[in-house]
Amino acid sequence: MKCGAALLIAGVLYAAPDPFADTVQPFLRKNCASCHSGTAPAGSLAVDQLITGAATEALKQRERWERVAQRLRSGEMPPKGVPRPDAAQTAAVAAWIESSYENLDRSAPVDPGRVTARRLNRMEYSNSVRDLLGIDMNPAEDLPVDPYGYGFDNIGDVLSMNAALTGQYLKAAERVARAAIPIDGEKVPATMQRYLAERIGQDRQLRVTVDHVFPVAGTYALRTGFYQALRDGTRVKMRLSVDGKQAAEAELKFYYQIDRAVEAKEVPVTAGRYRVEASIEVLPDPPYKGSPPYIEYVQVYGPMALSPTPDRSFFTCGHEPGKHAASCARRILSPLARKAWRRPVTGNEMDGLLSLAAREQARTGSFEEAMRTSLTAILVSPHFLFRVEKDKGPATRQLSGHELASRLSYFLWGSLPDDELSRLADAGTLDAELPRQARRMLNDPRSSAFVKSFAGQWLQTRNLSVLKPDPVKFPAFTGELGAAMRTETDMFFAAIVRENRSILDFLDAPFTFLNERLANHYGIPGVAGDAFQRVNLDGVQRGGILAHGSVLTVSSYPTRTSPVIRGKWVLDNLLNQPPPPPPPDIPQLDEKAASNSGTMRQQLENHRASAVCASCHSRMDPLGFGLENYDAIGRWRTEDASGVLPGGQKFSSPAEMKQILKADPAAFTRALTEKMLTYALGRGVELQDRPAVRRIVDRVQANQYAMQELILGVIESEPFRKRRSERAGL
Amino acid sequence: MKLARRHLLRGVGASIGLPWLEAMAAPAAPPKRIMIVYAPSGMIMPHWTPSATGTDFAFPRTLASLEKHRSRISVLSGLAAHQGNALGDGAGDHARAASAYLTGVHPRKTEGADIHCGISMDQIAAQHFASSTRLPSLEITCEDSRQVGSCDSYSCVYQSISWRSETQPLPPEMNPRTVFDRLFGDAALTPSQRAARRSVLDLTRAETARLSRDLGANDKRKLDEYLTAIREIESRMDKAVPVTGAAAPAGIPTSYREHARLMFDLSALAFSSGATRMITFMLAREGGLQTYPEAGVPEAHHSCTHHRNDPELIEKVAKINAFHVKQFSYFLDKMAATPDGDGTLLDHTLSVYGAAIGDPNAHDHNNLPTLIAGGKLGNGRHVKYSPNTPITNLHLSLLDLAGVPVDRLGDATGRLDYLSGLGSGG
Repeated sequence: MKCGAALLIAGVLYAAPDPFADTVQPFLRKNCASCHSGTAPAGSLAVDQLITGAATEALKQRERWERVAQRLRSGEMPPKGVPRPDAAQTAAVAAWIESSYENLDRSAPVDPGRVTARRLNRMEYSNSVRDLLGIDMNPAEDLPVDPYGYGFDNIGDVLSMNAALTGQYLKAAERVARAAIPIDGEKVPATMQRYLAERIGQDRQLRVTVDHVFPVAGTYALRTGFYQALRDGTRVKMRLSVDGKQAAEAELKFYYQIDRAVEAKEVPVTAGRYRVEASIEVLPDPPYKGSPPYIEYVQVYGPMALSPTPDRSFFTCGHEPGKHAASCARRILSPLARKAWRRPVTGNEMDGLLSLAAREQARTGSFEEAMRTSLTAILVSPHFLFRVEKDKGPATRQLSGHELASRLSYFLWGSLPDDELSRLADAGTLDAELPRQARRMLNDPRSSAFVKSFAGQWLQTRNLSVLKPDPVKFPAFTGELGAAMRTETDMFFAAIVRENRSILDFLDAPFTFLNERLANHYGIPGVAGDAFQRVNLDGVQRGGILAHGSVLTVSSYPTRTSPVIRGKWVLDNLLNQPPPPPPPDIPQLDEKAASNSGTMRQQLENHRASAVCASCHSRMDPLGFGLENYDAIGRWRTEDASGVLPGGQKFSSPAEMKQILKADPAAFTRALTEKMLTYALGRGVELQDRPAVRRIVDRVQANQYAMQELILGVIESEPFRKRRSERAGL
Repeated sequence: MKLARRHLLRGVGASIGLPWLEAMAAPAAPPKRIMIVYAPSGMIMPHWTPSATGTDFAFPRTLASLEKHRSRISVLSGLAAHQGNALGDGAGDHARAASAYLTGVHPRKTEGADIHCGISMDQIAAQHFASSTRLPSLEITCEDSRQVGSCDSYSCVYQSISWRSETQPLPPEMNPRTVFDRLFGDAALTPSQRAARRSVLDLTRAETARLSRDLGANDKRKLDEYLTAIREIESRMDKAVPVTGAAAPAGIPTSYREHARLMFDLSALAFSSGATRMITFMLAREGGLQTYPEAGVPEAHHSCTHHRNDPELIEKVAKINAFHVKQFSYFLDKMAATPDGDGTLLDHTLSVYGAAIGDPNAHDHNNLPTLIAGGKLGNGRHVKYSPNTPITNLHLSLLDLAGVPVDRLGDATGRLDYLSGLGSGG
C-alpha cells in the first residue's frame, strides 16, 4: 500500500511544479503554525510536524491532514480574529489534501476487512421464515428491538445473544412450526384480542387498521365498534375487512340504545399476519353536523374452527396426510435445512436432524409432531440464526458462492437466497453474474425490505413510529399521517432505485408520492383518495427528501423545530460528517427556548460568539435555518429561512440551500456510499475502507450518479466479495 | 406454613407450588433480593437532596411521595460514577453513565467494533443466585433503543446498565408480556412440549459447540454467547414457576404511568414467586425521547435536561424526576404490603433508586442522586459521603448484605461506612 502510494504521489508531483512545496507548506507555515506547533499545539494538532520533509512522508499522517482539510473547508480555521488567508488559496490547499488522498485511494490495494458473525435481526428473521415456508406471520414481532451500531441494526459486532433472546427465538420457532405443519383435528384454543384504538395510536379516527397474527388457518370472528352519541336517526355505514377483502358491511341507524358494532362471524383466514381494517362513515341523509363518530376498537376472536389444510408444498412426500413413510422425513427435512441454512447440508448434520425426528416420532407416535420438532430445530440452529463466514487458511479469500449469495440476499431482500441464487452458488458462477442477479433482485418485490430497512435507517424515518409530536400543539399529527409520511419517503426511494435515477434526486427532485391526506398536509391540490400516486411538483417547496414531512418531523422536537437538530441531520445523513456531540458544560444562552423562532434564531446566533460553539454550529445552524420554512411536522410556513455557511455561501430559502448541497455532488455521493456499504456489510466503514469507497464513488460519478451503479458498486466491491483471514496481515 | 405462604402470595395475586420452591423457602430467613431502579438523564439536585443530614431531615420536593416510607429509606449523597466522565473520550456522557453505573468501568468508546466495559454488580449477584432461582436476573425498562441513529456517539448497546461480561451487555426488555413469559412461560408447557424442547436444545447445543470450535475470536464470542444461553435455558426448564391468578399482560400500555407500574407489579411478582432475586429496572433510557404528558411535560425528557439554568426547563425536569420517584413509591407500597417470611417483601429486598448523572446540564457524574430502601437496614437517614466516593462502594456493600461473595468491582475502593456492620438480619 505504502509503496503504491509513494509511486503515485511521486508521479503527480514530479510531473508538475511541486504544489506541496510551492503552496501547501508556505500556507500552513504562514496561517497555522503560529498556534499549531511546538510541544503543546492548539487542539493537539501540530502542523509544523506535517510540513517538514517531503509530501510523500507528510501524507502518511492521514488523520491529521484530513482534519486540516475539514477545518479549512468548513471555514472554521483560521479562527475569527486572525487575518484571513485568501479564499482561493485556502480552497487550493484543501483540494490538494483531498485529491492527494483520493489518488492514493484509487491505486491502493483494497482491504476487504472482516465481518463478525451476524445474528439474524428481527426483519431478517421474519423474512427468512416467510421465504422458507411461505407463511407471512411476522414471528419476530415479539422479539426485542435490535441494537444499533453505526446507525444500523444489522451490525455483527453489536448484535449479541443472551438467554432472554434465545428463549424468544425458541418460542418463535415453535410457533412457526405449529403454523407451518397443521395437524388435522388438533385443538387450538380460541383467544380473543381486542385492539383499543386509543391504545394503538389511532384514537378518534374514522378508520382503524391493525396487523393481526392469525396463528392457524381457520375461521375467526371479527368485531368492531364505534363511539359517539350521534343524533337519533343518523345513519352510519361500517365496514370490516381482512387483507383488503371485505368481511362485513352494515348500515346502522343510530338510536340511543343501538348496538354500535358490526360483526363478521365466520371469516376464513389462513395462518399468517394480515391487516384488519375497520371504518365508519356517516351517511349524508339525514344531514349530520355534530362531532364525527370514531372507531373505538377492533376485536379478533378465534379460531372458531380449523380449516382442513392441504399439506404445504415443502411438506409433501407423495402420500395422503397422516400416511407418511419413515423415508419422508429425509425428503421433507433435507431441502428445508438446505434452504434455511443457505448451503448444502453435511451428512452428519442431516443425521442429527433425522435421528431427532426418529426419536420424536417414537415418543409422540406422530409424524407431524416429529416434523414440527425437527423444523423447530432447523430454525434455532446456529446455521440458521447466524451468518457465519469461516476463515479458511491464512490468506484473504474470495467468499464461497453460498456465502456471497447470502450477502446478496440479505442486503437486497433482508432474507435468504432463493432457488436461482442457490443454483448459481452451487455451480460456482454467481460471482460472474453479480450485476444481472442484482438487477433481477431489485425488480423483485422482496427488495422492498431494502427500501424500508436501509432508507428507514439512513434517513431515520423509522423514528416516525416512536416520535410523539406534542398532541396539543400539533393535533394534525396522527398515526395515520405519520405512516403516510413514511410511505412517501419509501416510495420515493424505491422509485430512485427501480428507475435507476440519479442519487442527486434525493437532494432535489421534480416529483414525489402523495395520498390525499398527505397532499392536504402539504397544501398540494388535486390528489384524492387513500392510495398513493406519483405527483409532479411544479413549485419548489417539496422537491427532495429535505422537503419530506418524514424527514422534517424526525428532525424536530415534539413541540417545535430545531435548526440545530436539522442541521445535524443533514451533516449526519447527507454528508456523513457527524459533528461531535456538544461539550458537557454548555454555556448558558440568555434567551429562553421559545416557540417564537425569531427569538430562537437570535439565540442560535450567539453560538457564533463563542469559539467552542462556533466550531460546529457555524455549519450546523445555517443548514437548519434553511429549513425553517417547514414547521415541526413538515407544513410550509412563512419564516426567515436564510443562512450563511462558513465558506461564505448565502441562501435565503430551502430551494437555494438545496442548490448549495447539489453543488458538491461528490460529498453526498461519498456519504451515501459509506452508509450503504455499512448496511451491506454489517460492519462499520473504517479508514482502511477508503480505497474501496473511492472506487465506488468514482464509478457512480462516471455513470451520471445512477443509483443502481452505486448498488452494483457496493456489491462488486472487494469488501463485499472477500474476507480477510484473522491471520492475514495487511 | 403452607397456608401462610398462600396468604403471602395473594398479596401479589399469585400462587405457586413446585417442590423445589418449597425447598427453597424452607430456611428461616427468606432470600435476600436486590432491586436496582435507574432513573435516566440526571436529576435537579436541589429538589432531590435534603438540606439536613442525619435522621431529622425534611423531604425535598422530588422525594415527597416517599415520605410515607421515611423509616424504610435512606438518602446517600456524594457518591460518584467517576468512570462515566469523559477521561479523554470527549462527549458521550449518557452512554457512559449507563454502562459505568453498575460496573465501575470506563466503557470503551466505539460505534460497534470492540465493545468493552466490565461485569456489573447485578450480574455478580446473578451468578451467585443462579442456582437458587429460575432466572439469574431480570433486566427491564419502559423505553428501549427503538430510536435510529447512534446513541450519544457510542453504539446503542452502551445504553444497558447490566453487563454479563466485559463484552456482553444485557439489553433490558420493555414489553411486559415478554417479561411475564420469561418469568412464568415454561410452566405453561405440557410434558410433551417440554420433552420436544429438550430434544431441540440438545441438538442445537451440540451444533453450536461444533461450529464455534474453529472460528476467529470475534465470531467465536458470538457463538459462545449462544452456547451459554442454550445451557441457561436448559437448566432453567427444571425450575418452572407456575403462576395462577395473575394474567399475562396484553402488551405495552400507552400510558407511561401504567407501563411503569405494570413493570413494578411484575418485579414484585417475580420476587415473591422466587422466579428471580435480581432485577435491574431502567425507568427509561439515557438521553431518551420519552415524553411525560401525564406529568405535564409533553416534551422529550432529554431535550429538557439541557436546561441551561432556564427555570422553565428546570421545572419540567423536576416534574419528571418527581413523577419517576412516585412510581418507585408505588413499588415500595406494594412490596411493603406483601408479607414475606417474618416480615414483608420490602424487608427482604435491598432496593436502590438512583442515577449516574447528577445535574444533567453539566452531565455531572460526581454527585449522584442515590437512595436505598428496604432490607431492614435501620434506614431513615440522610448520609453525606466525602466527595468522589465511588458508587461501586455502595454496590459492594449491597452484595455483602445479600450474601454474595465479591472481592472487587470496577473502581470500588472499599465498602460504604454506613452500610458496613449492618449485616444480614440487621
